[in-house]
Amino acid sequence: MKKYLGDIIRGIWKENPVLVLLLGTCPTLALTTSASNGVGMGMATTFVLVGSNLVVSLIAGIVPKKIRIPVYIVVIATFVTVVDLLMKAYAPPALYAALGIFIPLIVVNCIVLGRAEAFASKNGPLRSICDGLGMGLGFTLTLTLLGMLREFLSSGAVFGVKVITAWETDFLLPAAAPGAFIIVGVILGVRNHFRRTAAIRAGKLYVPPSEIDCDNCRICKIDKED
Amino acid sequence: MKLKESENFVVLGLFLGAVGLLSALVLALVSDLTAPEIEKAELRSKSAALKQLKFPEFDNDPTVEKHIFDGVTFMAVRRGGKLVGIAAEAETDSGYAGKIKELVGFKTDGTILAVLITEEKETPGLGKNVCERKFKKTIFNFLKPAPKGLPANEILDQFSDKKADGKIDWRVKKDGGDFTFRTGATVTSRAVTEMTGKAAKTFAKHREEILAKFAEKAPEVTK
Repeated sequence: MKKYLGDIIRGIWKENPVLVLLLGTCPTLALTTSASNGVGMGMATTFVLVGSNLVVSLIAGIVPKKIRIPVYIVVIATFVTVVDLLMKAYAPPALYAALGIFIPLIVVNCIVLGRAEAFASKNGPLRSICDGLGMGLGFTLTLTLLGMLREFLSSGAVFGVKVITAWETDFLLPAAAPGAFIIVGVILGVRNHFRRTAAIRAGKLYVPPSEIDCDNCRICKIDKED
Repeated sequence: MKLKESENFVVLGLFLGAVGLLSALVLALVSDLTAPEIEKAELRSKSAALKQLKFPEFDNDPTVEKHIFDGVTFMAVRRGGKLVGIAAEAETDSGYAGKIKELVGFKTDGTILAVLITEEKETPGLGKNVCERKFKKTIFNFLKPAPKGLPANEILDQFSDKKADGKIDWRVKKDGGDFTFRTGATVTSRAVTEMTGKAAKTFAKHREEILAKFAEKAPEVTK
């Protein structure tokens, strides 16, 4: 039981797909202009993740190694098309209008293929479902948080409800892609800061992932002599 | 186990083919199951939009009876079989981000009742503000139900009560026309204004024909 709960929690915090694994950045940046968009995209991705994880974990035993990636992609694409059709039929028209063009992109969302390859193909169906659920929830929560921040900063509203009524004109930077990059960067920085202080307090040496470690980054040193 | 390590390309090809076939079967099934629902959802959103166009009360389904003139689709709006208005559906490709579609409600003499944008992909905060008719929710009123009727939009509302009788220049003021535009969203304002103008002018030009066509007996609705 603890194992299954651990699989879910891990996706939400310790291995959060957006903030730690830094996967699926395209929908993250393109879609989170409002909180409700974030919720919708997150839920669609969660459904695909759970479905594809389940099917992949069931068939992993018989899929020939050489063609496992195309087989997984077919499975994922099937689930995405199912989601697309279901949303078209039952989702509120405004939500489908906003997400419609991004739904097919879930096929190539690396979170989905990544979990199929890294987790579902090596674990049983029940744990794979939990992993898909956890990763999906982590994705949904992060997208919602990001959507809320962007919506609030650009128009003073949360979930379409204006909190600061004095903001008549929209501030466009947070609603555009560059603003999304900046906000994701700030969230990553805050998260890393907390992990670092926690590690120091525990007496451990905190090593940030090399991609986001300033010591490994060459951008600022580009025109200096080594 | 043998299948898993297989490198025989015939086996691999057959396996992939079988997976593809299975997924095609699943998709065909789901598509069949959802097709009527999708059609219903599309009709529902369209008739919900038509209801907002400030027509006098009507009781027919305008989407059934339509005629196309110069790329504008005209639909009859009836009450008890009598024509009370005409709905027009127009579209343009000159939006800032692709296609914009709109519904225009006309009185039978060609006066515009209301304009409603049904499809757009404009920039949030700029072009979207030109197209959106939305009741503004704030922390002070979000628990109250939204007021009935069509939410205001200063760009779209200026078309109401206008008529293509040759006196109005269907362009934005920046181009020398009669309609105000939103600064920062000139392209969208221009596209919407010109599209509405086209719908109004097409209606004025073909008014006799359209009315004659709709005056013929309304087609029996088969459900």
